[in-house]
Amino acid sequence: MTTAPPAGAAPRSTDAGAALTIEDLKVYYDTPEGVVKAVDGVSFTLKQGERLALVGESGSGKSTLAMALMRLTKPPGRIAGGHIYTGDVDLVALDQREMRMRRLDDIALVPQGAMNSLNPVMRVDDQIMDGIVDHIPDGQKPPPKAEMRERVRSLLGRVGLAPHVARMFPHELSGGMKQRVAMAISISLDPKVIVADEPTSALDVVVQRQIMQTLGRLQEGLDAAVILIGHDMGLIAQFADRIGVMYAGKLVELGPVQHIFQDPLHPYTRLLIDSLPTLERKKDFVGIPGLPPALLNLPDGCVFHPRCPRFMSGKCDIESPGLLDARPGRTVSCHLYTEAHR
Amino acid sequence: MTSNGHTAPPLLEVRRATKLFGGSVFTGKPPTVALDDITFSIPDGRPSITAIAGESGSGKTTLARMLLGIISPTAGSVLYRGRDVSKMRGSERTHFRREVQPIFQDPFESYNPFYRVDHVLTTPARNFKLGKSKSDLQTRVDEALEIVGLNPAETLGRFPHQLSGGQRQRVMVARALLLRPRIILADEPVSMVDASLRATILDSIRKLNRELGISVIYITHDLTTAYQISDNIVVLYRGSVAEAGSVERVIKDPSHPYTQLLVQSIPQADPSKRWGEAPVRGDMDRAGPATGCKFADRCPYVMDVCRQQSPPLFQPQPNRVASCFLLRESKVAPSPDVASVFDLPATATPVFKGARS
Amino acid sequence: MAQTTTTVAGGGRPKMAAPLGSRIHPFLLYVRRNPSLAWGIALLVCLTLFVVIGELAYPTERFRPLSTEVRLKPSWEYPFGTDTAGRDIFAVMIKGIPLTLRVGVIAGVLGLAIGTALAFIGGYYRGWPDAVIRTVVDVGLTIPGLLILILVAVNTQKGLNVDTMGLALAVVAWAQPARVIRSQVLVMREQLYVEIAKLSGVSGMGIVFREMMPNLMPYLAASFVGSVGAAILASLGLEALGLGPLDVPTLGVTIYFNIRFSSVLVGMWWWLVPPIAAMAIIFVSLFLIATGLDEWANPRLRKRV
Repeated sequence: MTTAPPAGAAPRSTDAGAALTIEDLKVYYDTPEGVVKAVDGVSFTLKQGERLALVGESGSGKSTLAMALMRLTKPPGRIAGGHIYTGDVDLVALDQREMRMRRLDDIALVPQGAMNSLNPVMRVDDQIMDGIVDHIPDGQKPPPKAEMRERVRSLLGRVGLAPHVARMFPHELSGGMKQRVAMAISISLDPKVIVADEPTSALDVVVQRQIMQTLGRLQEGLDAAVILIGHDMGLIAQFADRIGVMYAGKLVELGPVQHIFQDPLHPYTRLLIDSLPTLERKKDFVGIPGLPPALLNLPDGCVFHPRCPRFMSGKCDIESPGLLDARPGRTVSCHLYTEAHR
Repeated sequence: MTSNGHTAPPLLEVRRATKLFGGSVFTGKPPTVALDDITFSIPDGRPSITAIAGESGSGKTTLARMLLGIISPTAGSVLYRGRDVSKMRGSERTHFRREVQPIFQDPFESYNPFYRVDHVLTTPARNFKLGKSKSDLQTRVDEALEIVGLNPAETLGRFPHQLSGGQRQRVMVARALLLRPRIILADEPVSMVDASLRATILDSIRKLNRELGISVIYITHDLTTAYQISDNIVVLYRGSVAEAGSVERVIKDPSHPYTQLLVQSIPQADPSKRWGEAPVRGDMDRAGPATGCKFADRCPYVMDVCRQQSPPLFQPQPNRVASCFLLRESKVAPSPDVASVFDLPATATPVFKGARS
Repeated sequence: MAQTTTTVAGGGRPKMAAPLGSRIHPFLLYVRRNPSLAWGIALLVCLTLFVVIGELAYPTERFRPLSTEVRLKPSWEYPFGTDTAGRDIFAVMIKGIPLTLRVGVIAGVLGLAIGTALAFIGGYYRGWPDAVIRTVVDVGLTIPGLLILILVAVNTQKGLNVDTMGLALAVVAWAQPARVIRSQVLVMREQLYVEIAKLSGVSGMGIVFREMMPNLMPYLAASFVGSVGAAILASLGLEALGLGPLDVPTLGVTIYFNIRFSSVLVGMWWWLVPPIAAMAIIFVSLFLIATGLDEWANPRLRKRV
């Protein structure tokens, strides 16, 4: 994806074969201290059936982006600009009612801490059916109970849960099981895009593996695309096809998973990869110096320049690099890769 | 007693400690066994970093709280320099408190939101009477902050919400540093911190051990950082020791099927090394088997004997023990103290430098 | 070894707990974003101004009976008119409002003090003291307070004055704060920072006063406002029944006389409206403050960041 089209240009419909096209998306928070630009002009395309991971640390904007994709941004946050295209429809332009219909049907969310997003006073099957019934077009009658129960049973089976779980309450389930229920709800209408926001954050490593493998199976079964949001590079290496690296609200690098790990282009990505502990051999701990930027007071030019080991004075602190095609299929937001510097 | 030839009593020791929670005579519900007959010691004089690894339900948090003296064992005892912690009173107890200090997981909840971050540093300094004078204390505080990579001018005087999670956690390490304890219990110190800041914090913890001679117990579910930072490791499963020993040995060549499962499940940050597709059996949700080996219901190599008897700690190599009948050809470990098989760092590590040095 | 930072003029490092001055400004900023709290405080301030300016600028000794002609309609000289006994009703208001508030404050402060003490002892130390306190509080809450007050009032030989009424009301005012604060203490004692304080050598009382109490401010404030409101209401009830100090011009006593002398039936609306309006303003302001404090205590309720 190259830089966004100039303002005022007619909205483009999505590239053929793309499940989702995000164009210059901006999500800002209005706080008493000023405007926080949580997501500041992010653009990328999600291909059909692809596993794209968005990785970043706290303050990178990745969770805000996930919520914005679902149009679930809560005040004082707001979508301040940009487009989210699925098919010919721009999700940003839809009103609440239309978006509600699209949610779960076209694009579904497995939220962070999904364990806590289940209704504690409803049984599992009621919660799953809730979403299905809500999407039945006005005028149509809901399918008969028996058919619904069968559907719930089959959904539970697809996420690896036994049928008897349907009549249980959330508090009777373990963390892993609750997460699977959340996944079952998210696939109940066969969405084309699943947004998984840190789906395994509070889970043990063995359960985490099970959940990620289940998610992979679900994705293949539906031929859906998955956007995996996270900060665990190991998990992402195991799961994703492509990785987008976010820093301070911007997408700084995007490329295939092997390339990102073997040959990271952006200095931040490189530092991040170097800081990862391995099981190969013991070595010194290498962190990233400095602090993540205060989102209320972002530096001029490139947001990463205060911490960048390849900082070029006069360039990086003045001008913000756009998203550049550094190599085929790889984009970077860094002055090192402009024509003059290649 | 430990078999590494020390005559001084161990610094901190749990002896046959068992902890039960809950259970009720009325409902007939059996209590949960959080810890089951654990014996483990930290020797005096050879500071090292020991990892205690396990998933939720393994008992590692219970063990940590027991070592800190926050909870008492249902059976067995916790000893500090040979004295029973639960029987300590007055100045002896204060002394113990001073010498065994925590770093907790949650860098936000650790702070009282009403006070500035200085509070966590000055409160123990005042109570344990650190520093000969006010300016001496101030100097020590500044020093401690600098060692962990923080600028005192930018850190002190701030409220907790004004600092990042990584900074707050570093202040906690500085606090531990300030008190010069003999043992630091770090309970998942970096799991809630961003990846790029973890390295700095772990580095500080390693410095505490290597340069100041403080022993560290590193409690975690993350085997990768456990491997990087510790000398030895104890793997817990449902309150019992599955495997323990030198961290190189246990992680690179695990004997116990549970350790093997854990190591295989680690998501390695290398796309060419993906998880195997072999489905993983069972989980920790339902209660484990009532008799025999606790891992029997999930073990791919389970035998009849595993269901009938609880395996003892076998010692297949000098620096590892594991409780698994697959090792029944090896000798049984002579000492129930798993630390007896630990590799301790070479004697080049410094002797403990107390606060008064 | 780094030297300490340059000292700020007027003092070195900021103190550990921020001095009051530096806390007031952010508080005022917060009040601006919390309309409930702002309006509640504004109403109370208006009442206070009314009383203070009135006391300075008006001949308030006319609150006594036989100060003026009887049954006069409101006029320039007597803005709220006069009642059947020759009291200047405007003066009665200026005198009566602070008295009513005083009853509430005495009862509120005492009730909060007793209730909080019991809440901390029971909630922090648990064990049998908690069992006893819990039972006493639960029983205390079920006994109708007004009944106790009526019994106390009827049996007091000399009759009640404002201060003794405050004391009597405190007897029933402590139960609700005790219950509310205790549940907060139960939550707070499990916090990680309390554990760390214990491991830093802080004693039990130290934990209660230094670690927990400051964070309970919103709940204490809300309880206080609730107690004051409940106490004023109870005092109005007692007084309106004629059991209050009849020689003191509190709002409730004024209402009592209104009832006794059928002010409505004889068309003396100017006698009834001021005390009722004053009561309404007091209760509305207390309610708004309580709602505002509720939002402060529970940041999730905040609608505007």
